[in-house]
Amino acid sequence: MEIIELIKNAQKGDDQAFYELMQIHKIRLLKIAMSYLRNEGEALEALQEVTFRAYRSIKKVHQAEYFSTWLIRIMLNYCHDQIQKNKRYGDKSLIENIGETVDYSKRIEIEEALEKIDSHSREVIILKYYHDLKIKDIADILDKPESTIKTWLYKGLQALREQLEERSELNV
Amino acid sequence: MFDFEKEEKELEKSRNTLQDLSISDDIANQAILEGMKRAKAMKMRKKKFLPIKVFLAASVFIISLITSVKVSDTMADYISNVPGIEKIVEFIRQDKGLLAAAENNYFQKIETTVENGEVKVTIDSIVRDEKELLIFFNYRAKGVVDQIFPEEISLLDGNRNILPYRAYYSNLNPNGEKKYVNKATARVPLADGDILPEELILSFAFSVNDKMLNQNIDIPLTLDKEKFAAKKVINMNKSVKVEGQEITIKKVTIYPTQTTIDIMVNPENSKKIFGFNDIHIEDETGEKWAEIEPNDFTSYVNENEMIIYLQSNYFSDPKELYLAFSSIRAVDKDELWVEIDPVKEKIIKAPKDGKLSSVYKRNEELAITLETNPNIFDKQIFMYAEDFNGNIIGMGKPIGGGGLPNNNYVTYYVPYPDEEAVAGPIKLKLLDYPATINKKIKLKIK
Repeated sequence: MEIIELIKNAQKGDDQAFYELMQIHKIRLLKIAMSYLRNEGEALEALQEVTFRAYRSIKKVHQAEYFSTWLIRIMLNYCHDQIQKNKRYGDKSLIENIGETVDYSKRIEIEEALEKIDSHSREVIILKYYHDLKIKDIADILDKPESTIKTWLYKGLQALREQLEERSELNV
Repeated sequence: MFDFEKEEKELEKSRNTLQDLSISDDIANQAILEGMKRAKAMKMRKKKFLPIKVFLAASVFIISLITSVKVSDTMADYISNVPGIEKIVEFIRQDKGLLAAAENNYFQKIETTVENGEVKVTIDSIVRDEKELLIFFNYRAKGVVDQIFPEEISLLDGNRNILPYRAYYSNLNPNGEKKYVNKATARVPLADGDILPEELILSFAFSVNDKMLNQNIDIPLTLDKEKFAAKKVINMNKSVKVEGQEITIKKVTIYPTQTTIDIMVNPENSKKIFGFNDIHIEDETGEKWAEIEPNDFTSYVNENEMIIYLQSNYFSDPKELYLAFSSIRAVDKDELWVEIDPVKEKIIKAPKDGKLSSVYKRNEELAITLETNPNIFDKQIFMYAEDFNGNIIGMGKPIGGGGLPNNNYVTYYVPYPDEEAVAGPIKLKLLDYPATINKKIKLKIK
C-alpha cells in the first residue's frame, strides 16, 4: 500500500495501517533515539512513547508528505525531554557511557566534541550526518527556515573543527 | 560551501558504529504494539472520564485508571450456560457478587433492540436493587464510521419524565472506530433506598464522529418485581486508630449487586486519607470479596466521609464476616496541594517523598510524572489545575492518565489550554497518592 493511503487509513482508525507505518519508520526512529539516548532500553521506550503519541494525534497530520518529519519531530521532542529529565536526576549515564568505553578512539572523540558544541548545531549535524536527512527536512522538523539550518550547520562544523583541533593538541 | 572534509569523515566513521543496531525486530515491534495499546486504552479512558463539571457535584467519583481482571473462570463458564446470561458473562466474570446474582436468577432478560438511521442498540439484560440499576447493552453504527460513543444515557419514567439519575457507562472491548458491535455496561447509582418506577425508558444520546446525533434511541423496559431483593444493613460504628489517624466504620450494607462500606475519618486527623489498599470483606473460611472492578470507585459524601464499593456476598450466608485492609493511602494534610510553575515547568511543592518528579507542558496539557509502579498504584491523582484565586483551568476538558506497563512511572495529563495559561504558579489538589500507612487491620462485622 502507498504510504499516503496507509496514513489515510490510519487516520480513520485502521490499526493495521498504523502499525505498518510504524514498521516503515521504526529503524530510523530507533537510530535517532540511540544517537540521543545511547541506550537500547531507553531507545525502545522512546519508540513506544512515540508510537503512543503518534497514535493519539495522527488525525492532526493534514499533509501526508509531512508524516515522516512529523514522527521524527515527536521523537526529537521526546529525546530532548528525556535528556533534560536525566540531567535533572543527575543521571550521568550518557557521559558515563562514553567514559566507560576506555578506547579513546576517534568515535569517542568526535562524540565528545559534539557534546561540547551548541545544541542547535549539534542537532542539525546529528540529523544530517547520522540520519541522512536533507536540509529541507531538517528545516521542517525543527520548524525553522532552511537558511537558519544552514547557518547552524556551518557554525556546528566550525565548532567541531575547533574542538577536534584542541583535542589533538592535548593528545600530543 | 566550506571545506569540512575532515570533520565530515570523522562523523561518517562515528555514524557507522551507530548503524549497527542490535535491537531485534521482535522487541521493536513489541514496543510499537505496546505504544498503540496504551494510546487506545487512553482514548477510551478519556471518553469514559466525566467532564470536570461533573466532578464538582457533591459526590465525587474517582475511577481508577488501569483495570485488571480477576477471574473466577469456572464459575463464569458455568454461568455462561444460564440462558440469557451467556451474552453478558464476560462483563460479570470478574465480579463474584454479580455471578452469584446471575446464578440465583436475579438478572432480568430484556433483549430489546431499537435502531434509527445511524445506530442500533440492544439491551441484553439488567439487574437492579436499591443501590443501582445495572444495564448490559450493545450498540453499533449502521454505516462505516470512525467513532461512535454513547455520550449520555438518561433514565425516564413511563411518562417520559426525566429521573434524577446519571448513568456511567463503560465498554468492554471498546472499538469506536469501525463498524463493530460494542458491548457495554451502564451503572445507574441510586440514592440509598430509592425505588425505581416499574416502567422505565432508557434514552441513549450517541455521537458519531464526535457529532451528537439529533435523535435519541429510547428503549422501554418494565422492571420485574420478582427480580428484586432488599438490602441487608449492618450498623457498626466501630472506630480504629492507625498511627494516630482515627477511622470509623459506620455501616456495611449488602445489596445483590454490591456491598457498600460507609467510612468516616476524624476531621482532626493530621493526614488526609485517600483510601484503603486491598480492602475486602472476608468470611470465617477466609473467602474474600474485593473491590468492584474494573470500575472500582470510591465516592466521597463529604470531606470526611467516603463510601467504598465491594463485590456483593448477598447470596452467600456466612456465619462470621470481617472487614480487612492491608494499608492506608494518606498524605499529611499540609501536603495535599501540589504547586507547579507552568512557565519554568517546575514542581514547586509536592509530597516530600519526591515521587512527583517532573512536569512539562504539551498540546494544551500539563504532563505530570509520578514515580510509582502502575501495576500497584492505579488511581487518578489529579483532576485539574487551578490558579491561586481558585479558578479552575481547562474547565470541561477531558483529563487523562497513562501508565507504562513494565515501567515505574505514570504520567498524568491535566488540561492546560494556551488561552487559559497563567503567569504565576498553579496548584493541583491531590485526589490520591501512593504514600501509605502500613498496618493490617481486620474488624469483625458480624
